[in-house]
Amino acid sequence: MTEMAEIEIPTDKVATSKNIEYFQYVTFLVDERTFGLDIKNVREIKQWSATTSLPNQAKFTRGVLNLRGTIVPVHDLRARFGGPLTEATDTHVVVIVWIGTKTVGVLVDAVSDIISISAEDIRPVPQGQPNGDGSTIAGLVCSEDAMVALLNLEVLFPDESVLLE
Amino acid sequence: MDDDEDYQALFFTECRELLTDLAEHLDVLAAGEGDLETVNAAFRAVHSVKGGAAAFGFDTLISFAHVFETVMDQIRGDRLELTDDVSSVLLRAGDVMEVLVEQAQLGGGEPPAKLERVLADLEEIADIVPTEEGEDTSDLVEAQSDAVDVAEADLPDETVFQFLFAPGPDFIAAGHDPLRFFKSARNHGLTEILADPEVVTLDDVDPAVIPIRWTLTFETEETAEDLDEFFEFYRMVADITPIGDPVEDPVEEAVSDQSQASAPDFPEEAPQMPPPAVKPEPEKQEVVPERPAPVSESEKARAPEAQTPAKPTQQTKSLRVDLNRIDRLVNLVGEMLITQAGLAQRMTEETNAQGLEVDHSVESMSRQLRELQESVMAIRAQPVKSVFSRMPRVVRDLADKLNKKARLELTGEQTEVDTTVIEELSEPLTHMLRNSMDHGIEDPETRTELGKDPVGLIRLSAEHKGERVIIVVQDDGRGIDRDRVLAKAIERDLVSPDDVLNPEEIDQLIFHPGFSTASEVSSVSGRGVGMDVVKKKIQSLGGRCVLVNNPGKGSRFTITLPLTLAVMDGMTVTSGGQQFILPLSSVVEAVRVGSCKIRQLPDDSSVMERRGDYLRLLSLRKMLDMPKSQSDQDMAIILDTETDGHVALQVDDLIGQRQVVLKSLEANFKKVAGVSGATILGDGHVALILDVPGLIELLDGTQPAAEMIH
Repeated sequence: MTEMAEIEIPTDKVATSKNIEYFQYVTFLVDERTFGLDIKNVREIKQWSATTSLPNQAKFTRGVLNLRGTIVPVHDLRARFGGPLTEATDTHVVVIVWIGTKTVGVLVDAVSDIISISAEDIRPVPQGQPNGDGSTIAGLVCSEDAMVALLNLEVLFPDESVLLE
Repeated sequence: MDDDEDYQALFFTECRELLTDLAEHLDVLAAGEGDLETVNAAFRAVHSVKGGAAAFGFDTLISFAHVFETVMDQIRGDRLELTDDVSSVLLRAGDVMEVLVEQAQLGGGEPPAKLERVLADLEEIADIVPTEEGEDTSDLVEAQSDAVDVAEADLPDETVFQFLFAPGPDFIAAGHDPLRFFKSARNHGLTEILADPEVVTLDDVDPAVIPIRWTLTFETEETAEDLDEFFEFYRMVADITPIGDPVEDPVEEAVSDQSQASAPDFPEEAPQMPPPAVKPEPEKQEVVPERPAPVSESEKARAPEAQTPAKPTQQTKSLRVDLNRIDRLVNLVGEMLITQAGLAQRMTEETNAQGLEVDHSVESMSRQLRELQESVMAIRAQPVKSVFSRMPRVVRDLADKLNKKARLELTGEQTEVDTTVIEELSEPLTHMLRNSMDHGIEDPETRTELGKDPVGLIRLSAEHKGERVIIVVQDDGRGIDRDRVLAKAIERDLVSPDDVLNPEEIDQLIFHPGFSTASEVSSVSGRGVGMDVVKKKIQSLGGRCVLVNNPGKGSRFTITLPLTLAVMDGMTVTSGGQQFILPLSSVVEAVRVGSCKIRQLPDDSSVMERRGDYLRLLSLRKMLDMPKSQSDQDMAIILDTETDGHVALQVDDLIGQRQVVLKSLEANFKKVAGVSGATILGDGHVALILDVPGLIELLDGTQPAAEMIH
């Protein structure tokens, strides 16, 4: 496994003359706010389509959709952060991500960019925020025009099947 | 390293098969129906386990198998009579060996308590036998048995042949193994193996090619032609050249040499054995017949028939495939079915002149796909034998423990069911047999008093019926004591003393969670985990469990199961604009709500009158908190919940019946209460498969309704 990771480096990290490692992040928008995810965790981006709702789930769980034969849950990122449910239209997108061994969809407003950042650019989240449960954000990055909050998917959407069994 | 583990895994897979066969053969022998072939087959099974165990050094297993094998060998040599006592020891020996194999696989563990006892019994019967010519029994018993074969026979003069045996480069690739070759050659009078001292240098060693040549000495009454015939099989891949002229040999010498050379295991005494890479047996077919069926007469009887090359081709070829690969295939076929359904649907929507021909193609494709699906499912199907064959041991153990006598009769073991179902069957079946043994079958004295056969009879049978398999567990014991059950139920507050229950309703109480009629908690039936567990398990497999009780005469449990867990017959309904699938096995009937009398109860729940009965009327829309839609709640599906009788589930509309491919929600999400899984509809949307008992539980559960709805 470790060998594999090393081989992959050139594609994910853009080396520069200074030999600083750069990581690529996919950024997307929810309510004008910018969030980012490591591109390695993003499997694909899909246009929103109606999901099949599940009984008795958390409010932010929109239901499940068929991703070429596998059943994938879709979570509403806006609702996850305490906002109202997204009134999803054709312009909304579902970012399909890998969280551990599971494939999960995250409903966002739009995908904006792919940015390359070095580990040094990532700033820690200030502690003691009144409202925020800080751990859902892995770090902050200031890009040219906005602040990007890097998501910590394991904390946002924990694998509940482990807890239930 | 990895290879070793692979081979070990292979060994254990094979062991399981061998042990299953063994148990079966022993059962036949115990029933007194076995012939020599059965004895031989049982012997071969023990021998093969021993061989494999030796390759991996499982010492306890080897030594036990060795003694076991000795006894079997004596039986097949007619030197030991197969009495009831002997066969009961053999049966127990089979059980012990199973435990030993399990322990070898899991690594460690105390040797079972039975081991010593059974081993002593085995040794005892082996010793009882008067041995001819005062052979030393305590020593290498197998060698002795082989030697006896030779010594007791009136042998004609033997001839000595010598051959140079040089395996060609394809020897191993062709599936041969020098060890096996030598073992077979032994049956033709092979007495000496000498490795040629000239070996290629290390630089030139090719691990796939055997670098050694051997000089083989045969002392046999067989003619050169006989040997030629035996070698014929190997000529393609090895050079076998005779050295010198055959020499006549006095018999006495042959005997002593014989007993030496045919000592039990080649590996220990043949340092010139091939490198370990060729060791593990590649295929079962080749492992089993490595010993032909020798009769105790003379070497001649051991002769070629069983050894002829034609034998392997007569057997059905089989291939061991990783279950995951088949699962992938099943999934893929499922996908195709869904795509096809979508295509067909679109075809009906857009009919034009051209469409008609395409329509035909789509239709034939649908047929072919269904056929494909059936074939793929057939790959996963396995005879229930693999579970059934474990049950005699369960009954035997229990009979021992409970001091009862019982006989298990198996029928329909060849009935094929999907492997996933098979795996899940073992637990409920074991439970039911325990139940029969513990509560059903009376002790021998009582049975005799009642005029029954002191040996109880439990029947376990399987058969196909349409798309389902029916498994029946029936015993001729005392049946279910309704008075006791009722008393217990009242004591446990399951029913009130004033309730009037009909006999069948009383019988059903045993399926109630937490119900156990054993007055004392016994180690056999456990505490209160009884038939409710069985019923739950069966239901989770999409099956049903029906009990017929005949007090005094016995009870009969009938389990109906789907043949596979990968596809399911479902009833599609809509509620709040979403489609849902109800398992067809739980649907009793569908009625229009308008045609029935609905009554509101004070607690705001409703009941529906149906043929004089009142059924709980539940609204699926409310239960799942779905939005209202126009054709509101017009249909009621009457469902059998198994635990709570029939209920009526109110839905918007009924779409129809269809076969659905089961998909897991847990793979990417988690278990959702009230939902057993999902499937993909023709239009690509996901529909949830409802778990009716789960829904009811949700409704009756501790959560107040308001909280239940998110």
